[in-house]
Amino acid sequence: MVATIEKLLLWLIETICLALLVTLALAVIYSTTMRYLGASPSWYDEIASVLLAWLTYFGAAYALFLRQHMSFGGLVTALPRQAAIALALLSECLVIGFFAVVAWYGNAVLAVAKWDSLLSIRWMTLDIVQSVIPVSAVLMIIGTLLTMPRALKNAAEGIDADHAEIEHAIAEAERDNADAALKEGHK
Amino acid sequence: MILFLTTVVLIGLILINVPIAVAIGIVALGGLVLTPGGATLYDMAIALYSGATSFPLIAIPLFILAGNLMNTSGISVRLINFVSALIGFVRGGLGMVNIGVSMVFAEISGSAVADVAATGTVLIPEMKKRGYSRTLAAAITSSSASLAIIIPPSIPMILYGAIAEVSVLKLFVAGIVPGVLGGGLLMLVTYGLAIRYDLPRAEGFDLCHVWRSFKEAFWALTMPVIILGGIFSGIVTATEGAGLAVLAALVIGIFIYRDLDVSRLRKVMLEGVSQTGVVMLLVATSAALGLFLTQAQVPQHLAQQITEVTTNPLIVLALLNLLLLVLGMFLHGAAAIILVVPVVMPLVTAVGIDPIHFGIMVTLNLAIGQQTPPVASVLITSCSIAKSGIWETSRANLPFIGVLAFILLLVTYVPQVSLALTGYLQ
Repeated sequence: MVATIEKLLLWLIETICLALLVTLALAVIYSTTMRYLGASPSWYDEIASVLLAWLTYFGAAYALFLRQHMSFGGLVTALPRQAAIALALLSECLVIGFFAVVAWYGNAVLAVAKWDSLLSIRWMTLDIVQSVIPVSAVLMIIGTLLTMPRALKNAAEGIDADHAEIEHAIAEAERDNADAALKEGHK
Repeated sequence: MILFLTTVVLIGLILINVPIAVAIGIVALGGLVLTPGGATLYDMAIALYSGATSFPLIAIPLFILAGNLMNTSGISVRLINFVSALIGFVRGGLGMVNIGVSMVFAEISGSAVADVAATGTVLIPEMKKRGYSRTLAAAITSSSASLAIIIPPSIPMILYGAIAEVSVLKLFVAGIVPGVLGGGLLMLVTYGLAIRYDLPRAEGFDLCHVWRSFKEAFWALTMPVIILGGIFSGIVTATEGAGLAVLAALVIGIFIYRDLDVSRLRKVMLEGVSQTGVVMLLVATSAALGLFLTQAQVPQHLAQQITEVTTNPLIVLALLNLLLLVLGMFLHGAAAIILVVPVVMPLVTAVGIDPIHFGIMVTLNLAIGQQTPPVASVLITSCSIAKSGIWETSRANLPFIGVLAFILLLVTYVPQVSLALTGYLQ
């Protein structure tokens, strides 16, 4: 059940992130082209900035589900098992606490933001635009809770996330090289 | 006192494995609650949003995506083959190929680890086969990949440009001379070691082979031309250049090299999304920290206290180098830039240091930081590929770190090395 929820949420966040990234890339390419045709779109600066903010927070939520945020796990993984678990638990609680505050105050400012709107798209009020803060903060709390058992298990077993990422990157690159060599062979 | 407490709490949080971006946010939150002033947690929520909307930063997700596309679409292997055909005939040529490819390729994407993995997994096994010790192979790969941080396009430079509010284009141009000089010196050291250890040539020089590998790598070589040529000639801005890089990498990967299919494209894009989220959350929470530090007037007090002791830019530069080198040992590059630059900028301005000059210094310090454990992701990745120990590799790496340190000193005390070319932009 928990695994299904995690998978579903991850799929949803992935889809949103991909849509935002593609839209941002298209907006930049379109604006560059139109600038050369002498008709720079007036909405570009504002919309691209909004897209970047949304990509930032949904991307951060995605990275949190995958536990890819920059951290320094060297000390915790070197500690005895009990101390490592206790510190890992404290770290998880601090993350949840921080995002709870962000979600609360992020939501509170929307009441004021709704009276203002984007300059280029007048119907889009700022509460819609800035809702990304409380929404992503809630997602990050859920992501932390869902992936906490794995994080605690890693702390108990002395697994450093940085090293795991490096091993993953090397394995990926080796797979890409093998694929490329195979293709060369076929040619 | 506030700066000292902030630093202690931040280090404490990072040491207990709180993600650095969240640790910065917690310090900002605590600071805003505990210090008297106008800003509140409502302001923090607004700062978290507005911190992620800085227009120059739009280049970051696009360069990251372009870099990831290059990593997976066979561009790296073709570049390696071409550079090998071109300079592989020199003694120690494979080491030089490694340096040459890193200078073109590394630090484009948001993950230095992924970049080193892309080139290192091809070159390090080949170097070991040709008689290079595993430590030397790892050391050359690691140091050359880190030097690439100052060769444009570079994500750390874009971050610095946005935070220090200086032109990203000028930073890119300022990195060229130190980058090329550093690459040349790394090659010279490699040549010296190749003579000393009697390392072989990578391959004989064959004009037909050079031509064949050039044709294979032609489209891969158009990438830097499109990105840098477009930006430096003023045809496109840095952000537009990043957009064009994505378009070019897609066209080359899908239609020319045909190494990109839908599932691989999706995977590459998701990696880019994650790397963007990691870097940009740091930027956003640092905006909240900036709110607190500005309210407490920390950067201004720091500048005042130091300028009361000395206003000599040479001494201030030495102090800043020392601070950045120590921080670089414990923090990832992006985190170090985001934490240090807003705090020291008033000091930099007060003693009359050019912010572009300082930007190159900052990025060079981070390059050295990537080579110095405990936090040395590029070195650790190279060691993992070469299956060499970190401390033995660090010993083999000393001459290369020496080159990076020499370039840092040169850039620090001869500003013209970085600034001369920027004069042509006006």
